[in-house]
Amino acid sequence: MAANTYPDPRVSRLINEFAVPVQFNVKEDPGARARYHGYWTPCISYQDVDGAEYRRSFGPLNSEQLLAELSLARGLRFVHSGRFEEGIEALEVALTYTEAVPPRHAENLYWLAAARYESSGEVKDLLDGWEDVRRLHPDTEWDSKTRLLLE
Amino acid sequence: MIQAITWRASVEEARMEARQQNKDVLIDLFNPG
Repeated sequence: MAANTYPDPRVSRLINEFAVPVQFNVKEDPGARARYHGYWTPCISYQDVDGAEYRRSFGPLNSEQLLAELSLARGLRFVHSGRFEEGIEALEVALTYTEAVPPRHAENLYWLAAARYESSGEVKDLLDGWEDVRRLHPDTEWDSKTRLLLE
Repeated sequence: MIQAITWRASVEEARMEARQQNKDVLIDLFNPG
């Protein structure tokens, strides 16, 4: 990631827009693995300023995968703290990045529908959004989650 | 203008900076091999 992903200006722009980044070399600082519960690297944790974690990724990511992860993390950080309007806005922006990574796009659509439902209270917002998940990403984990509730 | 990533070395300092800038914190653990 140091050689290819992080030097990508699209990646640095998004990181700088969303977060203040901290990096630990686990060979120089072996205690970092235990402090941040990441024994397999690369490990990325997206947190708020109080240390609440909203997303975690293990293993190397290319630029497209990291852009999708980061943009989704930003949206979920609002959704899972009850800030649904901000979550909707961030998840709509995230669609631009997750389109290139189908598993993340399915997840993006799932949570966007959930956030819209939580914000409006309208079941139609949930059903319409989840119909998109089922139509665009059939036989995926996220399609399965919609079916468990709807069928 | 795109700015390169400036990695911080302290989570506490990153949280303080993030709070001032209304941002979140990204922690990256890596093994250089």
